[in-house]
Amino acid sequence: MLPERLGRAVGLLAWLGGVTVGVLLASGSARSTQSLAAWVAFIVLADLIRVPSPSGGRISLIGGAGLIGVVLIENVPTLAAIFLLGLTLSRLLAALWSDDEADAEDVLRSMAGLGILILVEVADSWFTEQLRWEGQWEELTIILASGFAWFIADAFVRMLGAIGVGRSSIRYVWLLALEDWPIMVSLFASAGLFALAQPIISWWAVPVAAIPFAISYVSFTLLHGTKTTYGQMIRALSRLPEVAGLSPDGHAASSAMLASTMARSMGMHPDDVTRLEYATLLHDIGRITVEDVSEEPEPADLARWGAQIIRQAPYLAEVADHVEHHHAPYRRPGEGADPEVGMESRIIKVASAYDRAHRTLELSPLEALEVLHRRTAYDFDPAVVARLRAVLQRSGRLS
Amino acid sequence: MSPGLRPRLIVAGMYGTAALLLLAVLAIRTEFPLRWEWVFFGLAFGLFQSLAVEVNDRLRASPTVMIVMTAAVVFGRDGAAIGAATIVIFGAITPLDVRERRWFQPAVNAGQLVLSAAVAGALIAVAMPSGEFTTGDIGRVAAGSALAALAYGATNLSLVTLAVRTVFKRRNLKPWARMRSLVPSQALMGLLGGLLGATYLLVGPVILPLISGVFLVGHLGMRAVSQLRMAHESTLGGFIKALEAKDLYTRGHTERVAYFSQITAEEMGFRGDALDRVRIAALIHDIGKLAVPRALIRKKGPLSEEEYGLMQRHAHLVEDILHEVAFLAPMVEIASGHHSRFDGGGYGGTGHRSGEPPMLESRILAVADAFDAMTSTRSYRLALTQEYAIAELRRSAGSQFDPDCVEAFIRALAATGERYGSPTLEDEGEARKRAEGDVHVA
Repeated sequence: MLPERLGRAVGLLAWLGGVTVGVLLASGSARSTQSLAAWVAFIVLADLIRVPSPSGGRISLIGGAGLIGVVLIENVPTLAAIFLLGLTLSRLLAALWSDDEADAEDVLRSMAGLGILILVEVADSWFTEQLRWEGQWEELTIILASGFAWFIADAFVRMLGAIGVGRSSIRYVWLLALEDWPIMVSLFASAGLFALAQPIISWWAVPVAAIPFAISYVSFTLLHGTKTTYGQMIRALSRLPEVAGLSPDGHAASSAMLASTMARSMGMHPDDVTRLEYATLLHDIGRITVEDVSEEPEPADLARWGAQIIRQAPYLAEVADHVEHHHAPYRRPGEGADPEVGMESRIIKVASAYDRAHRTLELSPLEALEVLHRRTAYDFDPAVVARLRAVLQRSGRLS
Repeated sequence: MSPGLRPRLIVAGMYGTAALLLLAVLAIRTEFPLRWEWVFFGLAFGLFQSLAVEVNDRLRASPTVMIVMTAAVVFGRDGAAIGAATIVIFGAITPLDVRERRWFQPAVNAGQLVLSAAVAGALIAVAMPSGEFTTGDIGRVAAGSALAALAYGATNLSLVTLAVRTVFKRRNLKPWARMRSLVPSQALMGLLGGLLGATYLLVGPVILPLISGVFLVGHLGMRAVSQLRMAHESTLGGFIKALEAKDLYTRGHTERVAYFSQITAEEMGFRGDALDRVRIAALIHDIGKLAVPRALIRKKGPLSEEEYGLMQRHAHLVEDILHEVAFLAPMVEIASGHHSRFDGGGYGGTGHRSGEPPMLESRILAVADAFDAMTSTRSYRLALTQEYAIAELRRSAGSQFDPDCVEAFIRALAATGERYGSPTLEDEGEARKRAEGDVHVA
């Protein structure tokens, strides 16, 4: 998510630095070449395996492999050498095999993770010397601390990547990164299990750590797939009024796109953004209950009928609330803002009105925005309209 | 269908007594492993038992088997049987039982859990070495634990089946078909339980927080999956209700057709996802009507050629949209084939070419749809009796309907003991004539 040119430069530097430092450290470390090669291969493998994460992207297993290194190697230069060589090799392999550009942010995230691992290792040796605290519970503490620190550092780098791009707010990216905690827990706990057990039970530690991780992996993958199909289904159902000729074609989808872009740039919580997206997709669904097409029903009735349909699914209770209130003006003349009409409902109202003006009245984006401006402060929340203007401006649609 | 009190008392008494006797024998012959691990595994068992998720009838996600095996290995050769048989008591009563003041289920649960866990614990005790536990024993203990998990599952399932059969006489249960589908996951969980127990003995209690973390997180994921799966159905359900709200005559039609399709498919051996597919296909079989002009749906009497074409076009549009959703595609294909005749006539929808016999699932749906149409009142005729509808299905078996599906449906309906349709009205012509007289019967 960094600006493209800067991103490539940083990525290239990280690679070159990684190779140089890796070669230097590897030649100076005391380990046998064989075990070094095995460790590097292990890191490469872990970095090439990517699991779907709750935040929508994919996460490599390199953090878990690094943690195993911290517990079993206990030598900072060797650890750094192995990690950097492994990372470089895996990126080269990925660049050879797949079409997608090596993501600079991805490399930065792994480097930040390495920094954290080294810090933990250094802190650990200091603690061991000062407090004479050794043994399994001390190792467990290192494992928990490394996992937590890696997770926070990773989220922090992702957040930094959002600065300057401006598509989504920093807060949104930070919250989105925190959504990945379950996968981090299972990755670092399985890796810790392996690191603790391997010296004692040797290769039996592989199934002991891998089977539980595989089981939780299956559940994440299933969840990812089910979430995707659910979204697809909502999208398909949202087209029913359009197919029946009760609503302009494409209105639901493009209003939803606009609404979720606005919400992301406002720093809304990712779960709320998803609910808002569903609500915007379904905001006109009440139209499928209309008996007589020639009569235009009251907007309040339409919204209520739509909410009734959506409320049949307990999972969508909040979505139904957003739809129910989306028709209402955000405040009435002479009164303050209506607390019943939440931010989500105000966004739906603005996004839908803009899309209708742009689509059905065939106004230019600037003219459509002008139509909205005329009704702002009663029908529309000025803050939301300002956000819409910012979003349109950034995407270049206002020039 | 409320079962009598007597069989319940007998079953609960038998299971409870058997479990108590067994525990007494074990307590006299072996040493009770009252250590903090006992409390830990008991609480873990209780927690995961109350969090169990049933994704469908084939995928039941719960690591409780694994916890029993791990505990048995940790308690060692002497404590395995009694240790395993006692920790499961933590899982016998769920918060729901307490809230609803149920006594029968907890009593039977406690009995069958104690007996199954004792069997598994005894098997594990055999696999454990008599001397000190070393790395060389891991393989044997893991294999023994996989076997013990299968024995645990088999005992568990037989005892539950026996209890249910005694109390609910008519339930149609096929425990062994179910067991066969559970074997791989049960054996894997057993194997893992043995491995973890062995790791605990060799490495120490430090592994417990880590392993608990992995399983808790994985399990929360599974729960979210099962919630979302239910959300798929209830979301579709909202749209179905919207459709039926428009037309008094079809109210409840979809839910009944879904129910009839499900019991028929179950009777024909459908399980797991395949069964879900049939039920959801039945739920969406009329969804195309949502995009059909209202006047056509409510029109009395036959539609003109032109009107029928318009209705089909709109229904097809909806089918095409839903067909794009990967999850719904197979169900749309089933639903759109249900108007076709068994002998190949009739119109075929998405994924089905006219002239070929429809898919088995579509044939099931066709029978369920026709039965409900005959036994409920429509705008053009009153409801007919169940006997008339069944005779009519049998008459058209082989031409319009698949004879196997018709017979499976009739068997399944008889097994439920439920009745549908008018108690008296046998004559189709009479039913139509009367409907013309009083128009607004709902």
